[in-house]
Amino acid sequence: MNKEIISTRQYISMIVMFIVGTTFVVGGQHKIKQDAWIAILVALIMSLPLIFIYGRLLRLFPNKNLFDIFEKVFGKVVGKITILIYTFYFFHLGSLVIRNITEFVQVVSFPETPQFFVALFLGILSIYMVKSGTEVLGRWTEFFLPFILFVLMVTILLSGTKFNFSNLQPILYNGWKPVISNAFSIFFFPLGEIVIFTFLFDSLKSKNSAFKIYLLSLVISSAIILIVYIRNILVLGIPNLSQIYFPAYYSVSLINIGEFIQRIEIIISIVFMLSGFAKISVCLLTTSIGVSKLFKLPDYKQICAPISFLMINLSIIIYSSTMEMFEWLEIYEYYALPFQIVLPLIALITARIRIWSGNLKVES
Amino acid sequence: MAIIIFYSLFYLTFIFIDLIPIYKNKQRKLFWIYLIMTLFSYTIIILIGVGVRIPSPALIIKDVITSIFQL
Amino acid sequence: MSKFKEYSLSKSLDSNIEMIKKIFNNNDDTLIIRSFQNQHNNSLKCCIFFIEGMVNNEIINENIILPIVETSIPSIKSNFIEYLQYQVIVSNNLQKTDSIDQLIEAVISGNTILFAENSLEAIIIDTKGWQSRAIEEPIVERVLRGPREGFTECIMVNLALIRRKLRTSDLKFEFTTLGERTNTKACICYIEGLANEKILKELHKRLESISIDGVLDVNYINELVSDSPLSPFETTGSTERPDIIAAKLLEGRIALVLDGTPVVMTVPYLFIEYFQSNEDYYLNYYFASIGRVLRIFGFIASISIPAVYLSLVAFHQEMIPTPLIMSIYAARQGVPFPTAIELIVLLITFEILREAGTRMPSYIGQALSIVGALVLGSSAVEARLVSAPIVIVVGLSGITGLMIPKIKSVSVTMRFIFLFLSSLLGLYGYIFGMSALLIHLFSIRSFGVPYMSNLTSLHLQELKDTTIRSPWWYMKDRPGSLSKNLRRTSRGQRQ
Repeated sequence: MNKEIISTRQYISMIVMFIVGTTFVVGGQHKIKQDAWIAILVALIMSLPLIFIYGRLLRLFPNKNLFDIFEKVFGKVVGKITILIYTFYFFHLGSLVIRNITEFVQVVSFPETPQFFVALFLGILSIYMVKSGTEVLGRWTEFFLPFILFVLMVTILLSGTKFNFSNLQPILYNGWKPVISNAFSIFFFPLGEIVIFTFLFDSLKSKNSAFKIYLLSLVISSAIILIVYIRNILVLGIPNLSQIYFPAYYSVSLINIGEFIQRIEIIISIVFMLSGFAKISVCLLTTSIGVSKLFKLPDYKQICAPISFLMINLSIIIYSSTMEMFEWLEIYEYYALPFQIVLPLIALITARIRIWSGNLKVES
Repeated sequence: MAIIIFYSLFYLTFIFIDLIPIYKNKQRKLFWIYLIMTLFSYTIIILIGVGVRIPSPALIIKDVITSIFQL
Repeated sequence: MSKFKEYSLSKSLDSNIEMIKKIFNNNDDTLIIRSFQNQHNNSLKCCIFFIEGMVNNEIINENIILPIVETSIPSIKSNFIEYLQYQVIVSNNLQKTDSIDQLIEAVISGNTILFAENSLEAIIIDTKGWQSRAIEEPIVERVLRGPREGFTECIMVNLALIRRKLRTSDLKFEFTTLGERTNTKACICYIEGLANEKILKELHKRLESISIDGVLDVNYINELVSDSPLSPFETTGSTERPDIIAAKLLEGRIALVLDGTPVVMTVPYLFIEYFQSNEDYYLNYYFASIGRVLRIFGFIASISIPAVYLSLVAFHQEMIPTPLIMSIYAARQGVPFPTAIELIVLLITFEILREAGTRMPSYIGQALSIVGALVLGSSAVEARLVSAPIVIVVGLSGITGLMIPKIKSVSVTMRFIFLFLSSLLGLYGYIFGMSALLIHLFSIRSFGVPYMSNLTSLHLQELKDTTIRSPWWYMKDRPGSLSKNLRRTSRGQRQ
C-alpha cells in the first residue's frame, strides 16, 4: 500500500469541512440564547489545552498516527482495545452523521422519500471516496471548501436586510452560567471532534507542528460557525430560534430580494449535504483504517464497503424520530468525554512516564 | 419491501466489484471478514424491510450515561 | 525473429531471384524484377527488385540502372558489391546486408534491393517515393489566426515539420516499431533537459509491453498505454498541428509520432488541456481569457443544464421566480409525458441528428440539421408532444457541448447520467453526480501526474495559464509538475 501524502492545506480544508459538517444541522443552537457568540469564543479557548495534548502526543511520535501511538504506548493488548473503542466511536459517529443528513433531507425537502434511499446514495459515494484514498479526499475538500464558504457568505450577505440587531441584546442577561454550559456543549460538538484527525496525521507531508495546524483549523471553523450563528440570531430572533429545528436553513429561506431571489434555501441544504458527506467520508476512512489495524489487513480500501453497509444499517435503526435525534445532543458531551479528552490524556501521561523510566524507545 | 430490493442491488454490485477479486486473490481472512459483515448487514436490512423493530443502541447508551452522571 | 529461416542467400543470382519470387508469390504484379548487366563486362550481372507505386522511378533509372550499366568497371572477383556500394551507385542512402528479413522489409517499405552475381550480400537503396497528401490545415483544428500547417501521413515529413519549429539540438527523436503485422514506425520526441525522465522511462516501458496485431492510429496505443483505461476522460493528448506539438514539447511534454496517421499523441495530459487552444496564444490575452472561461463554463453547462432544469421544475419549484414558473407551467399544459421522459427523448433525438449530420455529405448535412431542428422541433411543440422550454434546454445543452470537440464523448455520457440521478433525487442527485465526477477526476493520473494538477493550487505561477491566459511577460515558469527546468522566460521582459 503506497503511502498517501496530503499537503497541509488539504489537511486543514478537511478539518474545516469536517467541523462545519453537521454543525448547522444539529448544532445545539436551540438551547442557546442570544449569547451564542460568546459561547463559541469561550469554547475555542477551552479547546486550546485539548489540541495542546494532541500536538504533544503527535510530536513525541513523529510520522505516526494515533492508532500506532496507542499500540506503542499501551502495549499490544490494551492498545488493541483502545483501537477497538475508537473504531466504534468513529463508526457510531459516521452513522449519526448519515442519519442527520437523511433526516434533514426528509424533513426539509422530500417528506415522502424514505430515508434509506438517501442513505444509499451517501453510502455509495463515501465508499467511492474512501476507495480512491486519502489523497483524493484531501483534494476534493480543498476544491469544495472555497465553494462552500462562498455560498455561506453570499447567503449571509443576502439576508442582510433582515438583520435585527436588537436580537443580540441584552448581552449576558442570564449571567455566565448558561454561557459556560453552552460553551461546553460546543466544545464537545463540534470542536472536540478534531480528535479524529490525529488518526490521519501520518499522511501529512510536512513536519509542521500539529498544534499550529489544529489551531489554525479550529480558528477558521470557529469563525465560520460564529458568523453563521450570529446571522441566525440576527435574522430569527430568540424565541423563534429555540423552537426551530434547523435555524440556519430557515434563516436562508427568509431571504427575499426583489421578489426574484427567494426561497433559495435548497442551495444551503446542498452545502450541508456536501460538508456532511465529507464528514461521513472521514469517519468511514478512519473506521476502515482502524479495522484494518485490528485485523491486520494490508489495505484499508478493501474493507470499507462492508463497514459502510453496517454504518447505513445503524443509521436506519438508531433513532425512530427527529426528536430523538435532537435529544441525543444533550448527552453527547458525556458520551464523547472519554474519547476526546480522557484517553489521549492518559496516553500522554503514560508515554511520558514510560519514556522517563526508560521503558519506551522514541525516535526524535 | 422497496428497501430490500434497492439494497439487494447495492450489495450485489459490491459483491461483484469487491468480493470476487478478493476470492480470486486468495485472501482468505479478508474474504471471510467481508462476507460475514455483508451477511450480517443484509439480515438487518431484511428484518427492517419486513418490519421487525430492532432496538436502538442509542437508547441503551443514553440510559447508561444518564444513570452514571445522574442527570 | 526471422521469418525466413528456410531461405538463405546464395552466390548464384538465379537462385536468389527464384527465392524472392517464391516469397512474394509468383502472381504479384506489383513486384518488379529487373535484371541487367554492365556494358563493358558481361560477367557483372545484377538484378533489382522493387514494388511499383512505392518507388521513385527516376532514382531507379538514373541512379541505379544507369551507372551500373554504363560505367566501366574493372573485373573484380571479390567485393563487387562493395565496389558498387561505394563507387558506382549514386544514392544518398544505402546499406549492405545479408539478412533476408531486412531485405524483405526494405522492399515492402519502398526501397530497392540489388543482388549481384557471385555475391552473398545485397544492397538496399532508398528510393521511397509515393503519392501522399499535401500539407494542409486540419479540418477539425482550424484557427482564425496563426500557422496553417498540419501533419500528413508520412512520418518523415511530420518529423521534419516539428524539427523546423524547434531548431535546437536538444530535440531528440527515438525510433521504435509497433504492431506485429503492421510494423508501424513510431518516434518519441522530447526536448532533453525539459522533459521529465521518469515519464520518459515509463512511456518506454509501456510501449515495449504492447503486443498487438496492428497499429493504425494513435488511439490504439492510447488505449493500451493509458493509466486509467476505464475512465471516459483521456489521459493522452492528440493533435494534428505542428505548432501545438512544438508548444507542448516546450512545456516539457513528450510526443509520439506514428507513421500512417496525421494524429500525434502527447503525454502527459491534464484536464485543463481540454480547454486550452493554440489560438489563445495567437490572439489578445483578454479575448483569449474570455474564450477560455467560456469553454469551461460551456462544458459545465452542457452536462448540467438538463439535470438542473429537471430538478428545479420537478422537485424544487420554489426556487424559480413566480412569473417564470408560471410560464413554464403554462407551456407544459397538455403535454402527456413527465419532464424527465421529454428530456431524455429530446436529448437522444439531438444526438441522432448530430451523428447523422456528421456522416452525411456536406450539402445534405446542412439541410438535414436545419430540417431536423426546425421542423421536428417546432412540430413536436405544436403537437403538444413536448413543451417549448424543453427544446430550448436541449438545444442549449447540445450546442455548448459542441464547443469543444475533444470532450464530446464525456459530455454526452455525463449528461445522461446526471439527468438520471436528477430524476431520482432532484438537486441532491445532481450534486451526488458532480461529487462522484470530481472524485473520479481527482483520482486519475496521466503517467503519474495527477490529472487535475493545476486547478487546485493557489500558486500564482501555476494558475496563470488555466482559467485565464496571462500575457507572455507574466508566464515566467513552466508548470512544475511536468518539468524540473522551471524558467521559461527571463524576468523583466515587460520593460
